[in-house]
Amino acid sequence: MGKQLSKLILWALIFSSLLGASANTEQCRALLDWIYRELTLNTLEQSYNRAMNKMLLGLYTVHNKTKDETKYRPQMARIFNTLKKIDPELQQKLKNNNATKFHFLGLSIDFGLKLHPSELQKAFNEWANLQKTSAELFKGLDKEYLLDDWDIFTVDLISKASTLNFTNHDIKSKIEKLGKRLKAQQAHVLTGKNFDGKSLKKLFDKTSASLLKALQDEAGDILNEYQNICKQEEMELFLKQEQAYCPLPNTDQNFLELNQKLAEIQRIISSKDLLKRTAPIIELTSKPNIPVYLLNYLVNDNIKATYCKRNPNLISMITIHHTYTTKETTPLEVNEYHIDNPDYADDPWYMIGYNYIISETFAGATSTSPKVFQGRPPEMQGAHTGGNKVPLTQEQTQYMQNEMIECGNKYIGFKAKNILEMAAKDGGVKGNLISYGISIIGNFDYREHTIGNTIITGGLPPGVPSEPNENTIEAAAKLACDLQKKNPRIKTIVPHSYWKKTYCPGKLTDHLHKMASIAKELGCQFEVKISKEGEAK
Amino acid sequence: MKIMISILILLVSTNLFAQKKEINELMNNYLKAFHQFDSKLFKEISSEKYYKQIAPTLKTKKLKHKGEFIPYAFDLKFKPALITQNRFFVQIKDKKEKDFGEYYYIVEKQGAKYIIMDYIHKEE
Repeated sequence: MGKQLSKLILWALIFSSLLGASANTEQCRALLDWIYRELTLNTLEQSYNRAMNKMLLGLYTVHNKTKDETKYRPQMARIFNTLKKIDPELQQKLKNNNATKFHFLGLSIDFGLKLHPSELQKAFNEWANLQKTSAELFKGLDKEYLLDDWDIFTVDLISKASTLNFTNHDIKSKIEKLGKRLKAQQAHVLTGKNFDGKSLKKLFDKTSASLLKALQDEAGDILNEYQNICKQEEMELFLKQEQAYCPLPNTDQNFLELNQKLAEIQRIISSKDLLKRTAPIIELTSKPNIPVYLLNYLVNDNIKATYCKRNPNLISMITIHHTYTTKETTPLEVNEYHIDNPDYADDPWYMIGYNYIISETFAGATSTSPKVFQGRPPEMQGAHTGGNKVPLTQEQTQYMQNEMIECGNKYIGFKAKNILEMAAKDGGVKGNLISYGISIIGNFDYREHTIGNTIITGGLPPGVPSEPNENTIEAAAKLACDLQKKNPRIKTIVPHSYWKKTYCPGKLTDHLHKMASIAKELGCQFEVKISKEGEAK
Repeated sequence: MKIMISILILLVSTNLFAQKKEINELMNNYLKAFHQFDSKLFKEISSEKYYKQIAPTLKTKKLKHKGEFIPYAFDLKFKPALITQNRFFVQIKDKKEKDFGEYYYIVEKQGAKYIIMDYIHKEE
C-alpha cells in the first residue's frame, strides 16, 4: 500500500511538473526517466554488488597478467588508487588476504581519503575509462565481466541520490535506507573474499542472476503500475507496443545527453529482455506541429492475419478517410471493428487499417483540441485504399530500385518481394503501399437515402453526418506537414475516393485544399488530387 | 455419428435463424425509430454513444414527420464478428438496391437484447 501510494505521489509530481508542457514529448521523457530510476533504485543493492564483483574480477585478471611486468605498474597503481577510493581499508585487507599474493611493488599509495558517494562514482568512471584506454590489460576477460553503462548508471545514481528532488517521504526514506546499507557494504567490500578467478566468477554470476531477477520483478511491477496508475495509453506504448515512436524536441539544451541516456535505457531494456518486447524506437526529431499519441492496440493473433513491412521513405501520398462511425467511437474500437470484420475471414486483418486517426473525443481530445493517434506504425503497410493500383512515376521507379516489401507474420515468417518487379507484374502499386492513411473519426457523408418510405441522411445506414470541424482539418494539416518534414517525398493529399469508387471521406473531400493551405502556412507544400488523371471528378 | 452431426447442424441452424429473426426485428425498429424520430425507441435499441450522435437530429426533425411508418421487407445480411463474442456485422438494404454498400452496423447481444452499438465504414 505504501509503495503504491508513494508511486502515485511520484506520478502526481511528474505530471504536475509537466502541466503546460508539450504533453507527449514531456511524458516520453518523464516515462523513460522514471523507468530508469525505478529499475535502478529498486535494484540498487544488486546492481552495486554486481558492479563491485566485476571490479574484483577485473582486478584479479589484470593483476595476474601484469604482476611480473613492470611496464604495467603505473596502470596497476591507478587501479589500486581507484579501489582505494571505494574502500579506504583496502591495503590492510589485502595484506591480510594471503590467498591473493597481491603485491603492489612498493607503489606510493595515498590513504586517508574520506569515502563519499561522489568518490565512488569517480572511481567507477576511472575504472570504466581504464577499460577503454588500456584494453590490453583486460584481454581474456569475458565482455560481460567488464563494467558496462548499467554499472555506471548505478553508481551515478548512488552519487546523485541525495540531490534528487524527491519530496515524497517514502521515497526519501527508501533512498536513505539504501544509502546506509551501501555504506555498511562498502566497509566490507573485500572482507573474506579470496582473489581466485573461479570464486569471483561464481560470485559475479550469482549477483548477476540476482540482479536480473530483481530487474525482471521490478519491470513486471512497472507494467502493473502502468495499468493501475497511468491511464494514458500513450504511456503504455513504450513497454508494450512494437515499433513505437517517441518524438522528442531538439530544442532541449541537453539534447545530446538526453539522447544518449534514452538510447542506453533502450539498450538495457532490450539487452536484458526485461520486457519481453521489441525495444521501443525513440526518434529524436524537430518539434512536431502536433503530437502523435501512441496506443496499445489489440493485434490479431490469428495465424492467417498477416501484414507487410515497408520502408516508410517510399511513401509519397496521404489518403484522407473518415471512419464512418460516431464521433465518440475510439481508435481502439475502430481497431476492434477492423480485426473483427467477418468479410475478411479468409484474410483477417492484423490490426487497424489506418496509419493515423484523429479524434475529437478520445483521451481528453475535444472539438477545439482534437488529438492525433498512431494507428499502424509507419513501417507497416496500411489497409485503407482498396486494391486499386497506380503506375509508378519515373521518380518513384528511381527511388524504389532494389526496395523490398516483406509480408507475413510471426507464425509463417516474412516473404520478401521486390517492389518494382511486383509493380511490373501487377501494372502498378497499391495506394496502401505508397500512402499513409489518415482517418478522421466521425461521419461526413451528407447523402440522403430512402429505405421504404423512410428518408435517411448521413449515408447508408443513417449515421447523422457531421460538418467537418476546422480544428480537426487543422490537426490533419499539421500532421501532414510533420509527415512531409520527416519524408519530403510526401507531396500529395488525396481523398479515399481517389483510389476507388466510394463516398469516403464525404464532405471532408471539400476541405482538402484548406488542409493544404494550412500546411503551407507551416512551411509545407502539398498538391491536392481529387481524382486520378483522366477520371471524372 | 451421423445423428450427432445432424443434431449439431440443426442446433446451429436454429440458432442462426433465431439470431436473424431478432436482428431483423432490431433493424425494423431502428428504421421505425428513425422514421418517427422516436427517441424513446431509439434509446432502447442503440448504444449511448450512437443515441448521443443521433439525438440532435431526432429533435430537429421531429416536426417533419412523414406519416405512418409502413413496415417493409428489407434485405438483411449479418455475420458474427471474427474475434469479439456476441458482436455482429449487419448490413441492410432496400430491395431495390443492388448491393449492401460499404457500411456496417455493429450490433451486440447484451443479455437477451440486441443493441446497435455503432456503425463503420468498410475499408480494404
